[in-house]
Amino acid sequence: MQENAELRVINVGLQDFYEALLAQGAKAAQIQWQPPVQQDEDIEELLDKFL
Amino acid sequence: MDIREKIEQANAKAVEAIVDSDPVWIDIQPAGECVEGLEDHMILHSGPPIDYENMVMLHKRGMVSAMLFEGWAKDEQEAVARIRAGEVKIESALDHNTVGAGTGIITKSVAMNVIEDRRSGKRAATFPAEGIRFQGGFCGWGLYSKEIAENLRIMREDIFPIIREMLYKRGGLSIKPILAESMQMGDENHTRQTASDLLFDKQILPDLFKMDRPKEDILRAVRYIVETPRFFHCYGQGAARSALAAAEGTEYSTMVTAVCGNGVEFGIKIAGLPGQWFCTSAPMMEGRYTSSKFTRDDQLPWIGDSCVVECYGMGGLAAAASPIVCNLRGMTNQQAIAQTREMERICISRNHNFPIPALDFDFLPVGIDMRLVLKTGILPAIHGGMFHRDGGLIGAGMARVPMECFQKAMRAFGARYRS
Repeated sequence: MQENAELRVINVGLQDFYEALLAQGAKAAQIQWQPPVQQDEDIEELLDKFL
Repeated sequence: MDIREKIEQANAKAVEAIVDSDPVWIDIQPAGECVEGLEDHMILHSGPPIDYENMVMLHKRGMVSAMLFEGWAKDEQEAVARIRAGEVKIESALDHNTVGAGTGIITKSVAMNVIEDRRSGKRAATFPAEGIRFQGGFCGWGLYSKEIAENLRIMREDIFPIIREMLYKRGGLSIKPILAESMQMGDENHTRQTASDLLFDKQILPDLFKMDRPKEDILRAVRYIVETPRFFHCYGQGAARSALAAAEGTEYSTMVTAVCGNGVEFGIKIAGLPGQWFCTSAPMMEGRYTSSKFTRDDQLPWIGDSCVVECYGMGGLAAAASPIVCNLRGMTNQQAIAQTREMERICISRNHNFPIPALDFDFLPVGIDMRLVLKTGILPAIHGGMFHRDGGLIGAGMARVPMECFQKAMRAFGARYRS
């Protein structure tokens, strides 16, 4: 990356980081993402059966 | 057919009951005549079933209000004694074909709007707005005074006969076109009905003015309609409730048909598990207060049944339709759109009746599937009014339906359909 190149950021997950970048004048795109949910074992089993 | 296919078919049928519903306002009747199963000496309330002793103050006061209004007790002391002696039945409004907005106090003598889903023939009854002076009084806040009781009688005996006559002459009023058009004009039809109110007025005012009645009587009815904020809210709820009634009892369906709170507990119902409640503690709403003097300590946990509109695909699911409602809570237009896009991930289908400008005329999501909520961890967003612990509206905001409700529902679904 060139020393004076414009910073362009793809932010994955936490919205606050994306907004902080915008506030500092950086170009940024936000990707909505959150870690997969871990349900209790019996619920996971039912989801495997029904979904 | 394997169990997954059965669920997919059932959900397609259940969501069709919403998307293809044809709600029409057909009548105004005493609750005792239009709320199925509403007996003499029975009081309905919002949220999941709850005993009198465990109720929040607003509901307890509502019970007393109902006793006095119906003449079942001469004063508060007698009313409480009769309730504690078990002389009245207390039931959840959503266990009947009605909706408990706010505290949701409903007894046999109050006048109710009747909405019929012409597709299924199912009817729902909803409590009308109480006018600008007493709005939220009897039903919403569970308040009672001689003036509030007198206003209810004026509505029932002086104003509603005129409106009912107008309604009969015009052959009812179709609700869905008003919902559809207002969704393109900034309403999400839970917190905001500004456009719906105007579209409603445009439909019925000419018919009211054509009536062969004394001018002063007509103007009284007109003033009641046009001066009451969010007048249309009860019609949107009636449209939703009548459609959801058609979906209730759809075997194998995992679609959510009710979401509500009583200030203590919060509950959901599932189409394939009719008659069962899945409850946990009522959540607090996040939002904006109407005055800086209010704090979280003043606020009551969620109370009210109005999330029938979210179950119908409006309100929190329709945030993209109403940047104004979201802006009031400090959200940007992009965040409002993102909220609706997020809701798409937990919904069964999209409602082609509601194309939204901010979504480039994409359709709103509809039909919350409890399986998708559990799988994705995305909790349904619900809009609503914030209540003071002592009564009264102190703001508007949003909450998420607690995960525990869906976990309990899934366990019950497993017990019912596993074999």
